[in-house]
Amino acid sequence: MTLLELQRRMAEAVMLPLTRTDTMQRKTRDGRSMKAEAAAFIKPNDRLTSFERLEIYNRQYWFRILSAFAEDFPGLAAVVGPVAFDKLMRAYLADHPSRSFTLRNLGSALEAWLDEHPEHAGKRLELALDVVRLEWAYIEAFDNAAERARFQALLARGRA
Amino acid sequence: MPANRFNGFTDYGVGIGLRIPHYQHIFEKKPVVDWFEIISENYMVDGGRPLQVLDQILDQYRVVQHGVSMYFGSAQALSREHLKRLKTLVRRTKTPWLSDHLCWGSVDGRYTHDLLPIPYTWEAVKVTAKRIRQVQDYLEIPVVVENVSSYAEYHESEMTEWEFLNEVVETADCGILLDVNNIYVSSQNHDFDPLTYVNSVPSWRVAQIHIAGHSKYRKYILDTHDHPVIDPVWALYARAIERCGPTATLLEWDDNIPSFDEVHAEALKANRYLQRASLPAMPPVALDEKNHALETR
Repeated sequence: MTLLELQRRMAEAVMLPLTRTDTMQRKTRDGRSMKAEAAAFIKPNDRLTSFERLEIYNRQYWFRILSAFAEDFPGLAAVVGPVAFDKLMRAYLADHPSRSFTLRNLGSALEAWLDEHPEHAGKRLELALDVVRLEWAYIEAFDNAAERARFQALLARGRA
Repeated sequence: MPANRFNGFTDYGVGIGLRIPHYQHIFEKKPVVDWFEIISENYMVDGGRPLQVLDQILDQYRVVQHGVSMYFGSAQALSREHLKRLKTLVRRTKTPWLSDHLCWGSVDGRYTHDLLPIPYTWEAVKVTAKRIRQVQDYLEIPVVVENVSSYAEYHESEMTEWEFLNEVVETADCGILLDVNNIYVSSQNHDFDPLTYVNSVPSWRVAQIHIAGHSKYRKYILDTHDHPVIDPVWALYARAIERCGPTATLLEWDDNIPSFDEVHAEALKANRYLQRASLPAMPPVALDEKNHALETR
């Protein structure tokens, strides 16, 4: 197995959504046994099977991105409620895995995604979308030089 | 030994990681800290609050950059955008050396945001060393690589982790950030003697050392950086200092972060070992004179 082949197989398993009880799924995306898949490239030891060792990384991946996402969108969580928010996060992040070196960009496609998946917003879609726009703007403003310049321009216009 | 070409011929002592919960304390109390380590990715931004804070820190303290997403061991090419942003930050901080992990974490443009272990193969040695050289050439500062904690081993591996580390750093001609807590964690997870690892590292390439705490579970240990350093890790640190000489040392504490003073006090425990290593060895002639004096008394 080449380095690239191994990394593709491992990433596929690590980024596979967790079960409802936050364990690793028993089947791969294409229906094969995850036990056999893990055993194909991970060594077991006398305490953990290949599956269990791979599961540590699978769980760490999801706990890390769920926690970062939840930190970025507390307002949205309040609008849709904790149970719906948990489902929303997992569905969105399964559709939009991180494509950036920084977790800060995790929510960059959330507004468009929520618009296409209104079932995750419950009865208050417009409010949920407004809150997503506001929370994303806050993230952008926090470390974006251009937004600061725009704010200063607006301020200057207000004074004139 | 402490000042070498891998840490820019500097002589740094004990530092701690710059973390958000400590900002207020640092700005108000201006504590004496030898140096701060920053996570590069937190400041590879266009402006705003992160860079304001960083500039304030740079006015008063020495800063060293530590990265978490260069992924030297990824099979695919490095991100040009990442490198450009990193170089901009390097110019801002004037970091004397830059560290990142000996790991991989992204493939086909998707990021796991984890430090995944590399299979210890000859193919991986070649790929990883090439990436390190590319980064070093582009950034024009010494690049040092850190050994990671791991929870899995691959069938594909053709050598031990320390043999892999040695092959990579020799091929890339780069330095090492030796994380003795990571060595301990991996040794418990994979049943090897951590001292064998520490004794096998080319001491002249060690630019910096990391110490940290971890969490022990029933069947494995996780590198959580949320506890004080345990005695077996201090013992590995002592051996590393014995071999490398007094080396820039950094305590990592990233979760359940206690007060600044508590973190700093834990880090400063390293001075027990650094000061011992700094004591000048008694020159042979003096030793002879002492023996002679004892004999003739």
